[in-house]
Amino acid sequence: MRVGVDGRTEAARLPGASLTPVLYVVLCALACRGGGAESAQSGQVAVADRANVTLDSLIDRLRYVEGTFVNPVAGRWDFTGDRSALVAFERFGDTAVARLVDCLDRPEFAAATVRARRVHMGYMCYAALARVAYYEWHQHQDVEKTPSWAGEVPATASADELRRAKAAWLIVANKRLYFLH
Amino acid sequence: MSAGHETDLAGVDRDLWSATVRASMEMRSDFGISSGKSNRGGTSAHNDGRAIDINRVDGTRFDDMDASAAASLGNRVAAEIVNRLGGRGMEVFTPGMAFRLDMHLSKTSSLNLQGSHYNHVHVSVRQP
Repeated sequence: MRVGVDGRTEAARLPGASLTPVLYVVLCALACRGGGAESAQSGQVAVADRANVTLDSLIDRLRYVEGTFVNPVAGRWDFTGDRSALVAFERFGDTAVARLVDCLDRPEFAAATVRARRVHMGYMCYAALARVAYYEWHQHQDVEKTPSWAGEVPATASADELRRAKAAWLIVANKRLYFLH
Repeated sequence: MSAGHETDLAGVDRDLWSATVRASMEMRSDFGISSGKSNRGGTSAHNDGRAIDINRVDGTRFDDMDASAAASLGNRVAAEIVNRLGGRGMEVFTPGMAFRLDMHLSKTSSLNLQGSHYNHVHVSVRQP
């Protein structure tokens, strides 16, 4: 569900929203043929959920989530805001990975901050991506020669670092080298 | 023991699997396994089932735990497994430490590997 800066939802403007009544009808017809009123009801909820809560809207929501990234230990950045915005991607698996990798290089600033500065939207996509998948770069390169991987970025990442992160993740995603959490 | 939907546990090295199960029993905890045997190309120890990744304990993800709790619990999980491997342990990367038993890691590598494992424990074994 898209949430505007004023906090109001914009589900009605989503491309899939207009399809929802049609989906209800089709689903109801199928369910009724099977004779299960209960399954029709639960099916309606599922279809409506899918129609409204799309990955597009979840990604848009990332831009407006307020909170701060803190760095309790090296390599870990915890978000103090509403983490459900990041967690929501988990159930979409590979589909979410593809979409989130695609937005890693978005340079506009999000509402969330790190060290009193706003993070790039690309970093919000990275934070969500890290909830869904991880890549064990140390299994694919000599860690003593190359002890890091461009696909892992801090919340302080610049637009250039995020562009490099996207390039690194595109290789990993295209070859399906990552693991899902 | 619980496994992610794409996790092949049947192909995990027998010693590693046994050590992981016994560690889980010793800790009276459910380990959530995010990766066992899985072909990811390259030289990954996961390719032939010689590595296992644990990303949750008793249903809670390491990245949902307080950082110090994740480090402490991750180290305990890894230690309980490695101590049951009879010397076959190779890579031990957790939210709280990172080292290899078969080679020395530089401080930079070690810190980066630990940072990369803030959300899971990775243990691998040498070839039998």
